[in-house]
Amino acid sequence: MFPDLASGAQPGTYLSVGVFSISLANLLIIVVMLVVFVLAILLPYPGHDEGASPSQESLQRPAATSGDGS
Amino acid sequence: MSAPQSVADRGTWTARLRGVIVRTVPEGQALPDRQPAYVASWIYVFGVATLAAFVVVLVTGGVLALGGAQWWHTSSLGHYVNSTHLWSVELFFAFMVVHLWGKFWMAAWRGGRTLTWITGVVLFVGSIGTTFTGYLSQTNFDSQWISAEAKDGINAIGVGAWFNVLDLGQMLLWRVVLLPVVVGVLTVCHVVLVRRHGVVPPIDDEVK
Repeated sequence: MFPDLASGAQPGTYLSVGVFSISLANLLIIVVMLVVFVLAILLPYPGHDEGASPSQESLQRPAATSGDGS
Repeated sequence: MSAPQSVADRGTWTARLRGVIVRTVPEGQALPDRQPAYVASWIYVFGVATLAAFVVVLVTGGVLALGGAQWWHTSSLGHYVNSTHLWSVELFFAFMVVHLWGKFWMAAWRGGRTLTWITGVVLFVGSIGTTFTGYLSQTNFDSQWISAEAKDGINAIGVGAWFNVLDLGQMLLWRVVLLPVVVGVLTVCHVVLVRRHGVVPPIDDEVK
């Protein structure tokens, strides 16, 4: 009655444009990751006062040390 | 009356090692309880989310090692742990890629953070290689087919004699010992470098 999706027995749906081919599942995952990325930039972080200046909240701003991480 | 000679003055290896540790990560930066205001953004969460997923990967992988390579074929608990292992790896990569996108558009290599960026890139590539060995360790027809396909590529780059994808025992040990140790050590280096140099500020914040 139910397709055996868990074992990967089904061939899956593939989208092809020219030489480029991708499974629908992988395409959806990439789209979801892009949505998460955009939301992570746009959504306000909880508990953060937008009106506060960086100097009011900032403490111990890390100063870059000389050299490249050595 | 002279002050007692400090341990650092004695030149012991423990004192020298402590000096290296103190110089590597300045005091208060190892586990800071406050961060700059610009860190209050969801995009900064994905680095530690990747770390959290990595911990779950290691724990579930450890439980799978207790049961053995074929445990998940015969036990519902083993199947559950195997699925938890799989999906924590999926989340590990999803979080890591979002973290990578964020850091790329922040140009996170600025301010002496080149080595932080490089260790992150090496970790990304190394994690992909480590995960590929998971395909070889499934002990099913799927892993047989994948290893048969992979052997030609591995032989083509000339390392098949040392990294034989058809040898389940070798691949399993690479997977559960060597590669996780490499990824773990690189992760520690990456996190130490982040703590040493601090979180990269936004580009417009730096210009001001």
